[in-house]
Amino acid sequence: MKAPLLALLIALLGAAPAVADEALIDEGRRLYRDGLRADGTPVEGRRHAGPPLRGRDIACVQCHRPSGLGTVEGVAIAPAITGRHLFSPGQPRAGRRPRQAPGMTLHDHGFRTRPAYDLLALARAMADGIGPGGQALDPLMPRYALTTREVEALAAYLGSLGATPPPGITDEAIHLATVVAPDASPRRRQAMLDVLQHCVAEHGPRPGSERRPWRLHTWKLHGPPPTWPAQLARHLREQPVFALLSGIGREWAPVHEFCEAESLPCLFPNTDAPGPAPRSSIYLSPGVAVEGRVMARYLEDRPRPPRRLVQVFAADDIGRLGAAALAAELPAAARLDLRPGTPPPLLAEGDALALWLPPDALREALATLPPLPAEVLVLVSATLGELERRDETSLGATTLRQLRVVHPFDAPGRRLERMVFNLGGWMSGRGLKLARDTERLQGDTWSACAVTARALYTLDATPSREGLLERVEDAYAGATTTAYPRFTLGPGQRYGSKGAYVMRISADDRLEVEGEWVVP
Amino acid sequence: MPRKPTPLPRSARRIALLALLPLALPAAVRAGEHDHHHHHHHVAAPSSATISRSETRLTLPKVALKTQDGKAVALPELIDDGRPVLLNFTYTSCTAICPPMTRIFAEVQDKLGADRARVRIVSVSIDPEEDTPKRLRDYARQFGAAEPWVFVTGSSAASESVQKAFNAYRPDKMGHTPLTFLRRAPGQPWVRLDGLAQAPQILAELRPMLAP
Repeated sequence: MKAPLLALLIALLGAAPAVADEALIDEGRRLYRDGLRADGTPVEGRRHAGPPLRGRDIACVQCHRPSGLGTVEGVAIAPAITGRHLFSPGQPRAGRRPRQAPGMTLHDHGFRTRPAYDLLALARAMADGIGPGGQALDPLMPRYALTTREVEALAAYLGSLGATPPPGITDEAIHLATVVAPDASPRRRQAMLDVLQHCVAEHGPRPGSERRPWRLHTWKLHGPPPTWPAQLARHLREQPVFALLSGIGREWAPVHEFCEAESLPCLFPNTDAPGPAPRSSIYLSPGVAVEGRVMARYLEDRPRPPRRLVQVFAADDIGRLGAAALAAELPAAARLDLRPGTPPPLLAEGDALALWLPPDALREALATLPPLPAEVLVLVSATLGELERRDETSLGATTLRQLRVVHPFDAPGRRLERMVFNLGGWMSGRGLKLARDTERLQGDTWSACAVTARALYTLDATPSREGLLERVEDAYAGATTTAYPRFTLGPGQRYGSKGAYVMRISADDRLEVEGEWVVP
Repeated sequence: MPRKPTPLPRSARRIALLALLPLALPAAVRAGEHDHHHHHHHVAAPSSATISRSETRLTLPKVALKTQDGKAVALPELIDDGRPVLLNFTYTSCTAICPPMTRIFAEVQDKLGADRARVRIVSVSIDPEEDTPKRLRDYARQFGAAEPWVFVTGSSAASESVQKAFNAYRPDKMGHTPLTFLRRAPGQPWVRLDGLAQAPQILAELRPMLAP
């Protein structure tokens, strides 16, 4: 009598998303993600013989991640626990056999050899740390005091994780898109597309492999930025995609907001103006915002922080974002914003000048600068001034001893050397050329592709968007050709590079690193 | 892919699921009580549960670090202040291992009671780019860490040289394993505990170091 009932129960659990109601799934979600019970009190548990633990500290999401696909840290493995994984028997790793030695038997991890969980087994695992095969779970797994209803809610939520295939994944292909905004020059757009298209084609699964091929679509935007969201929505409707990969644009806020609203992973676009507080986007660097924060740090570390901040930027260009970041960090300083071309007022001790200007305007501004007291610092955005794209600054400002360039990239010589070494051969093998003015863009694009490719290969047959973001966070080491001296990600991290150098201009008109890489 | 059941009215399916629970529980408990077979020379898959203890001598690199309060500290001085030292490597966005490790240090700190001022506790960030002093401060607060427990960060090179000195360096921080180091006094060997050492085990190492 009981065996058929159990079978039915298992069948129902397998179909948990269809069975469970939304309220139950919501309760499960709060337990899983926040460690909170339905009444808002924290769930309680303990790890090993340790002290009692509560709430977010022992929320499932800590180790099993938002996707439920788990994580690996050293030898600690938090296994995948989505309904599809949990309510079916453990799977040995495909293509791997446990290592054997004479007289020894290696026991594989319990989660790979266990029978399928059912509701009862889940209750026992949560309460006592015993798996469905009777095996003890890893001591990292806490023991929880949960009610039957809570176990049921958890099962319902786990069943819902990854149950609906994400848009852009069909039986035939994984669809990706790259966004090309009209405010990037044709030469730069083409440089990005050349690297990306070759790289995706080469990294994707071979024809005839069991994996779905990757299809890269190019979404070309037209017109002013406010019209981009509607264009993006139309593209997504016509061709659902799993993620946006690389891409190029000077303004990026409309794309950023679109990705956030759609929970669409947007991976490493070539923009210096990332949107604020990303969840779905992972950026190469915080761009001009980090320049502003490093300028602020540099000014704060002076014996006398400035009393007035004079900033020159165009209100319709991305320099405004760096200027805003700098001003936000120095709230005590008075603020004077000037448009390019406006002659600056007489600057006195207690002032600092920040220039967020494109190359020609920057040279013009420096050439027409009135004499400055020696204490007044002039800070220059390397990104706006495109100073990372040339060997010599040509600013004609070497006499201005108080000029500092904030440069959120690796030192030019080191960067170029790495780029030639890691990417030069690949490029020339494809008939492409590394060029001084596009080398950052080309290297960053290749790294975006390589990291995303690694992440895609580690996702299994039913990927989720959250799972993709988590795997990208783990795959950052594939970024060997970025323009940054350090490029690292980790759980929840959204910028690969996090700081900038402060540089002087040497007597022979080259950028020279002053001090250490600054992470503000 | 989720299996598609024969559709039932939602309320009926829900009742069926709930009704099964009390019946299913005893059946599955018995199912779990199966016999275990015993063989010799079993090797378990690697796990953080196994603790291996070793002693090691090492040279601390001379590097500048920053505490969670933004204060500059030099490494040998911070550690060689004469007190016994308890040290680990961690990072604030780490998910599976670091929160339990930090929780265990917090437990040690609490159980030391009046003796806690007689111990230096140091947690070194292995993700210094992300772990600014502010992030470390928030993290320390989250775990109730207080003087003499300091969290330190610094340049990537500084953090790496400390990790290398302790033979704890992994090129990819996600490859790190739980490690606990203890030392009675400068010049003495370090005790290295590989694996997720629990508070009682750490205290068992530490208490004799506090004896006169």
